Amino acid sequence: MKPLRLRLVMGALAVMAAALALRVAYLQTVEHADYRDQAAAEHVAQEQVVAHRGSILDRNGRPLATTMEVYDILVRPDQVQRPAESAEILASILDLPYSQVLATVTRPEPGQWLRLARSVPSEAGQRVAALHWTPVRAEKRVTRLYPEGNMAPSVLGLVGRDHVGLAGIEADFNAELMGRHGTLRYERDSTGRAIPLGERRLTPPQAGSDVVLTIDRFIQRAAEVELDRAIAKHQASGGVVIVANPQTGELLAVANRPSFDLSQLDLEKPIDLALFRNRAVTDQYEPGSIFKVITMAAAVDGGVVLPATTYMDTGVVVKYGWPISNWDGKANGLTDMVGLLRHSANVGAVWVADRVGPARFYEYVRRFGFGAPTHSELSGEASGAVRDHTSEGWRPIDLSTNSFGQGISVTPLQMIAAIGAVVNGGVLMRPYVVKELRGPGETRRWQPVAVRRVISPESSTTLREMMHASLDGGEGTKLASVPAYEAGGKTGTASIPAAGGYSERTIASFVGFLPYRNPQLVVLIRVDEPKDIPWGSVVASPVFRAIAQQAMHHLRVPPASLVAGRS
Amino acid sequence: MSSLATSSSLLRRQPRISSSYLLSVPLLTAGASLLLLFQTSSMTSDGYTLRELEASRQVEQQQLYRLEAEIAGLQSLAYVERVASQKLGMVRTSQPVFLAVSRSPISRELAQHRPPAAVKAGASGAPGWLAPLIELTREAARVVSTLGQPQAVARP
Repeated sequence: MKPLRLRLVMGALAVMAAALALRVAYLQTVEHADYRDQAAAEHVAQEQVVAHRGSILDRNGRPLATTMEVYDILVRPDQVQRPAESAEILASILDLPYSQVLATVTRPEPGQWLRLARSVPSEAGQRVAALHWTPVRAEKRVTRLYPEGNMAPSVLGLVGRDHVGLAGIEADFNAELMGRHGTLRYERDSTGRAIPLGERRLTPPQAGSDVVLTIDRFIQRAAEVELDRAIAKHQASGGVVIVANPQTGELLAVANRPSFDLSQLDLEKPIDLALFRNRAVTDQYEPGSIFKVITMAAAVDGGVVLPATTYMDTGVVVKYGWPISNWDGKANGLTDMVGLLRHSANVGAVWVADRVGPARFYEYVRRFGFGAPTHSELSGEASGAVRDHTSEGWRPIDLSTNSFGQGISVTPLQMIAAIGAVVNGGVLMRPYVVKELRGPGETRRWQPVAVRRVISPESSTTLREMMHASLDGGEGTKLASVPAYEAGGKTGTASIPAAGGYSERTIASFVGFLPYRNPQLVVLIRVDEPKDIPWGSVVASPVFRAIAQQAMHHLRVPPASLVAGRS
Repeated sequence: MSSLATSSSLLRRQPRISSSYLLSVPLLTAGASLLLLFQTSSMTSDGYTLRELEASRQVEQQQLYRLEAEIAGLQSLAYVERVASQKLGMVRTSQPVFLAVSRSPISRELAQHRPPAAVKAGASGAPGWLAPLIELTREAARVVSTLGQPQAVARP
């Protein structure tokens, strides 16, 4: 019996040992990875190393948006042991008044973390963190700074709290600006601190690229200041100013109003999304009389009219049963083409459009880029609305109204690109706002893109001279004349469409260029719903004058008299 | 017999290990342990120093970004305009005057002149380019004195 019992016990022990061995084998093989990960999670810590977000620079390398690491200092008053002494130390580090710090650390709010200081520079924040005081916390965060203040907000856009671009260039070039975050893996002890001799693996972050814009901060500021001034003076609801180089398509300034304030941006408050629109590319409007330049370009380039061609302006013309009159109702009599532009005669534009014919007219409209996005890389760009003679619902009267900018929708960017093509020798240039991408390892540059030739160089020269002549002595256009420089331009006053017709509200606009012999700048001004005076010649022309004068001086373009003297 | 005699002599030799040899083993072991300890201590210390230096580098990097931002702020148009108007009492000009300054052929020649990159000693011991430069300076003074009044060409 005894050997049998012994055998049984040994057998039981053997079974148990086998079970144990199987269990160990199971844990070591099947569940090995799971337990290894658990152990690693206990033992190894991993942190994200945030890459430095690239800056947005103006065309001369001046930062418009840049990134900085700052700290928010929080304090829990009920846990502060020696308030007076603590306040003194914190005040000296944070460069704050002692009384202010003492008031915060002694505030009777138990259990609450109170903000003692916001956006503290990194060195001061790290000194506070190095104190290792339980009731004081230094929370690191990355913030976007705008050295030029609230400049070009709708172009720059904004970043969210997670450092991801939400609008504008910040969103469109988010991947390039953000760079690549790194990781830091290290072994830690039971208190969570890094073991000095432990394994430590750093995948370094790659800093984001800098985006260099074509925007010139000086011209941008001038555009914003003058637009704000005009809006305030005429109690307008908003406006747009675009300044571009017609030879290259570079956008030197894009100002939108109303807009948001970059320097006062608080992402914790509900935001009005409408303010984030870049109205220069998203908003369509009926351009009004500015469009007569396009009608005239089609006629001149098509060989239908010459500057000296005349027509009899009776002040009103009836087309397909609809009376069309001049904006002032006046009959200008025998008028040449320069006079048509000078008086901004609707009757004359209708006469010209009839000579051009619908097929050729709409072919030019399309060739000037209307009805299609410009592909400027600015997000949210609208196409505009062009209903031509092949479209459903088009009526012959549409040719007449389109000739003076009614019944057709364009964006301000399309309009300035088209006028640029009229004055630069006849080539439609693609407008662009990003000039360069400066990465850590490479630099990518954008080159001007000629989309297509629209009119001949000879027609362009003729139209430049016509627009210059029409500005000289035109209706209220003296307000647009730029001292010492020779400019060309066209005013526009467009009624805003309403249900069943047009409302009393208007859009006052002006488009001009200078120097007219060799245009360096083209400027488009749109002022929405001025309350006192509706006319573009009175509301928008002075804005052109002010911006153009400052821009010419800034760009060191010699005055016309100097150029003439030299030649 | 001879093999038995050899093994017995070997057995006799074994207990003859000296006490100094026995003492040296633990001493060497202790020495090696101490060396390892020192090495470990040194590595730990260097590890901490490395971390501190890395943290210090990050602080310096952040300070660099902060200073760059500060420079940008001080060069911003709004700040420059504020300082110009409030501290320096400057006002915005209403209309600048442009001057056309005629340049004579000699002045154009002077503008193109550059001193030589390498200085050669002349015969008199003076630099070789000095004598012609003095001559050119005299010529420049003469040209400037003969220039007419600048011509104002700006529109009123």
